[in-house]
Amino acid sequence: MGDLLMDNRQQLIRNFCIIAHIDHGKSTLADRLLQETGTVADRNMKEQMLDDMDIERERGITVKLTPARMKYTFDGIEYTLNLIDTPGHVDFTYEVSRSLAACEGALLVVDATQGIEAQTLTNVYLALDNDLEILPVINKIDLQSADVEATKKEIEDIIGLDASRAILVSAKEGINIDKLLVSIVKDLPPPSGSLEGPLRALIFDSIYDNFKGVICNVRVIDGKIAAGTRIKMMSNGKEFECTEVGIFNPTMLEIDELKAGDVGYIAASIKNVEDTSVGDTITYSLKGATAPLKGYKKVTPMVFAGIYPADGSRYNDLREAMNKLKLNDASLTYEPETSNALGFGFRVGFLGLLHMEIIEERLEREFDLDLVTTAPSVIYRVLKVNGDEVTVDNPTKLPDQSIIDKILEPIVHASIFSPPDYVGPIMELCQEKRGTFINMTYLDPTRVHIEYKIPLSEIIYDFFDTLKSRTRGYASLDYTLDGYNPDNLVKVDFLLNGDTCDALSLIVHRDKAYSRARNITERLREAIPRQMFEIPIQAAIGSKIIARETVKAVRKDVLAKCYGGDITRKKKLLEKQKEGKKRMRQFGSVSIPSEAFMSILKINDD
Amino acid sequence: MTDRGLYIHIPFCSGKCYYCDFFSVALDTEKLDFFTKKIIKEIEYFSNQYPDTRISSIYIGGGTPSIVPYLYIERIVKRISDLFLVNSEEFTIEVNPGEIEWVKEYSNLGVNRISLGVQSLNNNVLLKCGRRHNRDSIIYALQEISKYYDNVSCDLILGLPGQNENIVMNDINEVSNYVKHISLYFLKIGEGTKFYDFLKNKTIDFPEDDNLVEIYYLAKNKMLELGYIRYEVSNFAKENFQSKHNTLYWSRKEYIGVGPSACSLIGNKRLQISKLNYFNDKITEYLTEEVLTLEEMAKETVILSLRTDYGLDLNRFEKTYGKSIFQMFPEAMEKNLKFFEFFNRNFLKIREEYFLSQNIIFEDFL
Repeated sequence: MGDLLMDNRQQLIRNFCIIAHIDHGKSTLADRLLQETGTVADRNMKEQMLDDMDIERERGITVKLTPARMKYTFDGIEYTLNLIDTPGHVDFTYEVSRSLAACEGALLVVDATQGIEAQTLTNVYLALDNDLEILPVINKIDLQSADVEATKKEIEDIIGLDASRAILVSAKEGINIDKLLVSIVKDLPPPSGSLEGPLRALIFDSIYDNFKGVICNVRVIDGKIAAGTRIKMMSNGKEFECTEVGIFNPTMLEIDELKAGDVGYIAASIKNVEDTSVGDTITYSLKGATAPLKGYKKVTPMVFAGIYPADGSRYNDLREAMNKLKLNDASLTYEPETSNALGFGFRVGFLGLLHMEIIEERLEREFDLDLVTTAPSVIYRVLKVNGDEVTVDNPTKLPDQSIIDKILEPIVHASIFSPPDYVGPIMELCQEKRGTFINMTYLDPTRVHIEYKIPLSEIIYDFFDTLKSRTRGYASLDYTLDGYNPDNLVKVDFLLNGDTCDALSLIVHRDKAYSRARNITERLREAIPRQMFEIPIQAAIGSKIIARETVKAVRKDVLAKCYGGDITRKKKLLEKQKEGKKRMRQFGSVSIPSEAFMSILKINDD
Repeated sequence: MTDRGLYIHIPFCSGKCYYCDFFSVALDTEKLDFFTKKIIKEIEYFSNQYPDTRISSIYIGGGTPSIVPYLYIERIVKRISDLFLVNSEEFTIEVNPGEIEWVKEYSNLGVNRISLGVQSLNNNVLLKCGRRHNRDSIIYALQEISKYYDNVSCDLILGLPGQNENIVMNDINEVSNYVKHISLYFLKIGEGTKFYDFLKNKTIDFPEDDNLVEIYYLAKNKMLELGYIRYEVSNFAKENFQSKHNTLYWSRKEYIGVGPSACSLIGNKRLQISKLNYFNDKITEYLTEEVLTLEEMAKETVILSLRTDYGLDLNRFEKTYGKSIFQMFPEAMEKNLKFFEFFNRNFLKIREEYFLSQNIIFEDFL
């Protein structure tokens, strides 16, 4: 009898996520589901309900996964639907894979005016890897340019899913949302797992709350948990007493108990951020589970940059902010580093450039910090003449050229979808970026799929922006890491007043070193204010100078008149000037404004 | 008794020049009456507060003091000599060309030095900066003043639109026939001036800073040739004709200032008379007081004395502040040592090649 009850309860739960290429309408569809099920009253509805970060709403993207519980009655039976909204951008694949592990099903949203895009494929593969049931949803059918039949064909041809059961919706207009809900109940499987067994709850996300401590977002696989339960983190054995459990309604709502199949949160007065980690399994302190759940594959950052406080005295604030952010963004990795120009900061690993931008922006907004970020770098593998191998995530750390045998750089397999009109410009761009052609497939008369191998360093430089501008925004890009290749790479150093400024060093292909060096020295000349003496700015490969600019000395900075009444004014004026220079970094005798380090980040090779 | 300089600010002008960011108002009789009474009250206030004062120099500046009818100036000066012990070695009044009606009479009051606002002798340049006189009236003024005074100074501005090296050299040559003292000021374009708008809207071109530095040094050499010595960034004088009153400011000696926005330095206090509502307020509640700490005074000593060609007197500094400049400002001294030179073993000076970028050095001391 007991067993049957359990089964019945779980039978009435559906855990699912929505996956899609960026801009295909994922967040709007989530809004519509919340409304249709009455989870959020119309008057409380705001757009992109689950994108609660300011950055997400402003940029119209989803960065974080966000769960929400909905109630839906079908055939007189009330179901609990747990929706987990996921990011769509290539950089956030990791966030997607985490939400997938908490679900049994996925809605695959495809824009009927765009068809399958690069990220659609990536997400489908992720969902298949996680054994999820995929339900195709064709969105934006209300638009004039919607081509439902072509989209269905693409879903069948490219992905290999049966498109006949695809639900045709318009999230914006609220068309067929009811049908979709029926299909979620009928076509997606309920959670398995046992209510009787010892607790096993997968932490798929966490945030820090000043009052409750660390809050773990969990999917309960087996067993149950309530306030008062003694719990243990299986990875490190740390024990806590659960103080609160709850669900996302869509804001946090305390309930009595979380049971197998549920998605919710657990608070346990966990003060130390390091005690919990995403992917860990929570069980009972006594008679707990013996084997943890399969966690997440550790994500490897692809892009590295130095992050420093613009005001050097705020290093401790930055460290604290990084700790807190790490809790909320499991993919973030960092370690302390020092720079001769920027002082104390962190070497931070990112999943990609957008991830880097988001992290910078979150640090600045949520923690009120002013940052200086150095140019992003990839990880290089360096083979030394003596046979040793080292990895280098910071150009400064590249060993001396004389002991280097080879430098290998990460290569990606880039997958580009585009209308055929832009094949020329795309191939030209890939060639410029040292790409190697692999394949080109015409999917239908309006779509072509181009594959290239391209060094990651070129991708993170300005590839995406250039691709978008050369294809008027029509091309979409996705890439996966595809090994390392040796190439003729050199380190370019920048010398200010004769001293190498480590924060500016970069590794670049020898053919591009000269133009890049010229470009950057020019930018530096513009960014560095004139000082008491002439400042030579040089770019060098080893000891060979390849570019040079000069910041001329200040000739005149003097108050013409200074009599009785002018003295206070003069002091104020000088104090103001001095204040303006506080944001400058002292590098030897040269003062460098923080902006100078940033101004070299976005430049073109032309 | 304590020697103190006295500065009187006369805010009246017949018009506003395009570069002027001083406090000035148009002359009207009602205001003038009010002003004279008020300034006399201020003089009385200071004589009550600081009865130990002996006036060592007087400077009547503006504005344009010379457009104020003599009667008023006389009334003010009379009141000064009634209330203070006056032993002024130097008594200057500022005069504008074309507005020199009472130049001769000033000597009756004890005035022994005239400062004439020339700015430029080039009619085109004068026109472009909103001056209301021309070359001829300047030459006439110089001739007239020279009849009665030996100690004459003139102001020139460097950086005016339309000016070039030749114009400046000619000006210097010509004024040198009449004056013992030349103030050569770099143009400063302050907010709220006509020039500020011109610069913002790019209505006129102003000479480049680098070019001005060249001209400054050509002018400096020219003046040296003509027998003037530079004794402060902007001030050049024949031997013994350095302005005693202005030197007070740079050596942080004490002074009293009356009139709108005028400043006094007495002991460790800087007092300033507000220019806001100057012509509305009946009472003397417009004095703001700043009490300076020893460190602030030391900072002022640095930024003021290093403007001069005498430099900073290291012994006097240590005596005054109880610490040497190296002890007081170790970081700033270390960082800037290469820009300094020691003179006569006891004087610190900014090396000439960095002299005009002195603000950058001073920032480190603040």
